[in-house]
Amino acid sequence: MSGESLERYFRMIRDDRRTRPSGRLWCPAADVYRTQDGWIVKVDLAGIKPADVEIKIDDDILRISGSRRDGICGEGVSHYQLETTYSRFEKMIQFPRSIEHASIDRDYRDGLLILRLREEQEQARAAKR
Amino acid sequence: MAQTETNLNNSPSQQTSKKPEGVPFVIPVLPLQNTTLFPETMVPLSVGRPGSMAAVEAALAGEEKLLACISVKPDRTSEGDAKPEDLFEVGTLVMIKRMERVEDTLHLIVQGSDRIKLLAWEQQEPFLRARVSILPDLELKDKETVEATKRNVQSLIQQALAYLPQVPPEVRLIVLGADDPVRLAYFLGSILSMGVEKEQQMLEANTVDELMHLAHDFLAHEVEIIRLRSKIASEAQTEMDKAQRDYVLRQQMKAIQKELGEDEGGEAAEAAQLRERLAKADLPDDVRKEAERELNRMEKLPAMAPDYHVIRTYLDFILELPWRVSSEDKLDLKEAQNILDEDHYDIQDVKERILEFLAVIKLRPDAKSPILCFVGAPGVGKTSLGRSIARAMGRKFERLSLGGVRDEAELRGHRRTYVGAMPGRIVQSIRRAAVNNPVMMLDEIDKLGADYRGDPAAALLEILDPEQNNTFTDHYLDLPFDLSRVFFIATANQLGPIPPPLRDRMEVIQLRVTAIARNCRSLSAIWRHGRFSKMDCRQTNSNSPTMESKRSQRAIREKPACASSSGTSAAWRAKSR
Repeated sequence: MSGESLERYFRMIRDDRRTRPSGRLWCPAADVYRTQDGWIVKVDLAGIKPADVEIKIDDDILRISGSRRDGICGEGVSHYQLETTYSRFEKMIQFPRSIEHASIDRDYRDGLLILRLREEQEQARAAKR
Repeated sequence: MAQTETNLNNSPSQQTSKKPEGVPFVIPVLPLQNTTLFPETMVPLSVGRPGSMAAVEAALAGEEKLLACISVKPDRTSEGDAKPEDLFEVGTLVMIKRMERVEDTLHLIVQGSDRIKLLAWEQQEPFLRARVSILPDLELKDKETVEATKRNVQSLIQQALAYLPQVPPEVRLIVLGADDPVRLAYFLGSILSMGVEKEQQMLEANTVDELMHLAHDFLAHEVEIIRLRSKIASEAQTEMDKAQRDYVLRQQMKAIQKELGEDEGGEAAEAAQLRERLAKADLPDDVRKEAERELNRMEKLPAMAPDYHVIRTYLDFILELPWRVSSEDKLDLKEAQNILDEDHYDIQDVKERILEFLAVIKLRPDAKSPILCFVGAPGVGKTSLGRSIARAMGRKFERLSLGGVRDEAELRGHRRTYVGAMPGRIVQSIRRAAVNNPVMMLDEIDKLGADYRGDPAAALLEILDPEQNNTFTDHYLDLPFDLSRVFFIATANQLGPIPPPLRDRMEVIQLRVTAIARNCRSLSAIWRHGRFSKMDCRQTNSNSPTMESKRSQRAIREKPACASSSGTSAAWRAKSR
């Protein structure tokens, strides 16, 4: 038995568990676009009721959270394969400056949540200066 | 992995759960055997037991795919489905992220979300379902202590990683770069194989301080184990290297010997040779058995082993001992008398006694050999008389001087376990004589010493007892040897120092000053052979000397001066008195 295989035998990390740190919630993918008067945020939130989405702004952080629920379940139906992540999610997006005074338009289209953030004129000007 | 890394460092400040802390809810329970699931970790699970599968199915049927994972107590693990009483009371709420069916098992990837406390069991069949509530986030009591512990933990991890080069670099980054102590502790708890007991302790910790303290203790323990394992592994490696090297060198040596034509098969040949000698040797059965046993043992040893040579020497010695070899006695009494007369003048009474012995032996050859003890002043011819007896009987003569012997082992040998062990002098003399019936002279038996190592006189008791000495056991030999055919003759200057039990075993013969020759011719013959008394008549404990002996004594004293110009020790001694 070579030294290498001995070491393999005595390894610390349990290979069978392949544990990874994950956080408590899942995190949907998001794109952020820059526009003339602000930002467009596009979040991949298919299968989520708009009412289940909560949006919060805290200084320069936009926090989108909610929960994906599975509507197709109940009597006579059972999962054969599961790949979609359900339950609670949370997405935090940090902007280069405060967005607290921005106005938000919500749009939910083709399974995507689209948020349009418009910064106020004065603030935008001040930022430009 | 990039995503998970950022996750470790971005802690959500607020929960969006629809199931807030403290509000009880009912949920299917998956019992975990031999493992514990921590919040904020993603873990693959395989589920195969019917009860567990039913619980997972129920969770999958829910809108949010939530499941409670609670560990089974370590002493309650079983093959079948776990019972409610087998489970701990604190577990983890998990979300099933992925599921796949492979034959009869469910393969899941679950993500731990919150700690939960078990409140009540709602259902046991067909799967466990319980009322649980989410436990509040860990409380942080002493920020500095926690930070210090966290840094210690990280330095311990660094130590451990030094021994574990195979750990992937991303894991190093995760554990060393973690900001949140709770996540770090939970991650460590889930990757180290600490056992359910310790893992559960960590899961049940209610403050960050406690959790970090536990994580630090357990990690320190694990690091010590890793260090030891690594040490053992490297030692094993060194040992293997050495054995390998020895083997190669030995093979080379064999090849060289073969080239030189010296290869007789080495140790195998040696063993074969011994075996052949053993087969030819005339040995008693028990001796042969023992010798064969030792030889078998030797064959299994490499020639380099220290025991190998010990056994070899031992076998050599056994094979050299005259177990059944004896010399033929020539018991012609006339001839014996001639020899005795030739060697010794006068001492008729002693010679007569010896002849009587010989006569007895002739009549009863199986009679036990006598043990004689000659007592007399120095130079009266005790030793030479012994030699004459041997010559008269046609036996080998062996003499061993006991003067100053203090150690019992000198007579009886050392046990073979000792380094440099040797057989005792008795057995060695027998080997030198090469027959088992020599005349053995134990000189100066009155000058035996004794100290804390033992009393050689006690060993002599056995040697000189005809009832016992047929099974005399030497420590080295560790086999009984028959000394009963040996003709022992002891000599002493005085009877006093000989212990009474020893004295009783022997037939004591006092040798007085020889009745000296009456004329000068015979005197010089005696002189030439050195067979005459150097003693003064006064010193013998015999009856008061006769006028005749006094006269002859004087004649001796004067003799060196007139007959020989060179002074001799005898003359010097006689004069000095």
